[in-house]
Amino acid sequence: MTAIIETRGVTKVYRTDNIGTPALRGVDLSVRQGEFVSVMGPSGCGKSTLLYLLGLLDRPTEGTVVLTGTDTKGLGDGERTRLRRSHIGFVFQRFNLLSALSAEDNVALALKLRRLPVGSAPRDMLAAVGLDAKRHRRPNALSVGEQQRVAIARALVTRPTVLLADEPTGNLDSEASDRVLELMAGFHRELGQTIVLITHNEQVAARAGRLVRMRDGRIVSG
Amino acid sequence: MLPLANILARKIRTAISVLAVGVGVALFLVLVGLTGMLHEIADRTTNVDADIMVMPAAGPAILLGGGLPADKTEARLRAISGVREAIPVLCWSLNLAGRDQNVFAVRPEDWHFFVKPDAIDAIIEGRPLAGGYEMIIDTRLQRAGGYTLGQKIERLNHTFTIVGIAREGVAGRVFVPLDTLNECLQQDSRRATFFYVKADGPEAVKPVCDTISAMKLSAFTLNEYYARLSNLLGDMHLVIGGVVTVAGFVCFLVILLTVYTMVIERTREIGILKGIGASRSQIFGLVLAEAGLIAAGGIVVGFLLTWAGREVILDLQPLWTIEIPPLRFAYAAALAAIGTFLGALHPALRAARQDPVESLRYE
Repeated sequence: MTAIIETRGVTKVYRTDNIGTPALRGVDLSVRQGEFVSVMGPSGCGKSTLLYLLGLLDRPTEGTVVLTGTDTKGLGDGERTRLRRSHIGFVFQRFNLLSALSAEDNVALALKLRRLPVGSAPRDMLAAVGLDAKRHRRPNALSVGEQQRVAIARALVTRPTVLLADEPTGNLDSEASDRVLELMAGFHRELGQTIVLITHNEQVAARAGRLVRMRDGRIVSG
Repeated sequence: MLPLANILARKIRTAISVLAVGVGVALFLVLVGLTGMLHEIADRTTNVDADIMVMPAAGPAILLGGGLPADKTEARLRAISGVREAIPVLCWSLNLAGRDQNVFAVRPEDWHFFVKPDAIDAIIEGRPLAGGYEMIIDTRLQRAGGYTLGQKIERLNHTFTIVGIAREGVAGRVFVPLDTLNECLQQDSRRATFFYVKADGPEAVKPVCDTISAMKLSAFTLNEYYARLSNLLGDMHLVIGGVVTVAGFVCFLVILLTVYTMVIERTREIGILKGIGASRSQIFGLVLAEAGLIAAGGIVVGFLLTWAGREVILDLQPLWTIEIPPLRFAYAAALAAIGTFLGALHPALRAARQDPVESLRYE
């Protein structure tokens, strides 16, 4: 099966006052359609940087990211945004919902930003994550676990090619964490959703079909 | 959806911003409206069935005192070919309703010149002047001073009786008989501050003006006099323009600060928006839309404050005039919108250019 998203020799160096700090060093990663990949490693190993590069939120210093066969190296911001909109769904670790909007409006926003018809999709998606009854609540009236489920609904309502999740259970207790992971696994299992999940937790990483380990900006296994 | 939700979610800041824009709009409208007071004086003074005003040579535009011998000047004016009527007016200042009022002393038989054909019912209560210690006041002064028909008023060591109430818009707020005022001022002979002159027809106005000017008197058509008074307002317009500019700048700064704070405060949110698919132009539009909503609210509040301010000012100062033509409201709205747009532009660009990764890492 062909890769749906891959990095080729990706290096990322952050510069502050002319001092370069390498976050990624020549990373090659290939994710096939329908894979559930977890990327694991200690804090500061470059996991989140890799995720932002995969999601086209950032540009590599060297190397390239290929998304659905499109080499993104020479693309402008507009084209990258269009690709991201078409193929990527993000779930962030925390503070990831817009506090001024209800759960349903947060989910609908992802469709509206893409100028897609809204219809009943947000409600259906919230029902799929078990939050139909709380769809009118604002984030501050939801538990952190529920907020993360709304975020998953928002990420998936646009039917993205790849779901990128940055420590989605990092702020959750074990029960909420299990529920979120089960939800993601369910979407992977039943809909064939491609997922790349970043975590530093062994148990969380074990839920994926493939485990990629990172250390000091490099992939060391997987 | 999101812009409205965002500004409603931050109620106090939104309210302060809306109020700041509203105060700016109201300040602009009320100050501009107050210039109407001076226009109203010019309007009234020229609201006479005559064509020309005649004053002493190099006479002041503000009318006061008896600089002209009334009978002699009238005779000279009437001798000019093309002059149909010469109407002497002696102006003096009398304190009524707590403020100095410009009194027009006219001959009772000349009253009809002060009632243009389209305002034949100018006397809405009582009667015109007949002579003696009589007084006509206009409706504004009546309201301001709470005067009633038949009321006695002690002025210039005499007791005047209000015999008529004229509709506002007539040339003077107060009319008394010419002879009476001359007597009160103990003039040796009848004096006049200026004359209104009615020409035989429109074609006679210019030649009559030229002839009077050659007699070492100042002669202006009523339009020229209006323009002369309006020119006096030039400095006032400068001052008002300055205040309006400062008010506009303060509004601009408030919006800039508000939107800038909003963008900084929502740095992470902007990162999330980009993460879930927002383009630069959508972020830019979002910030501008929020500022636009604040401006729209500010404009509405400004109009309400203007209305309230006008009512309060006119209640406290009934003789003031605040004229705000509808077009001024459009100007005010446009200024607020432009100020808001300029104030929001930099923060909106900053938000649009914000690095999504840095935004997401922002604590």
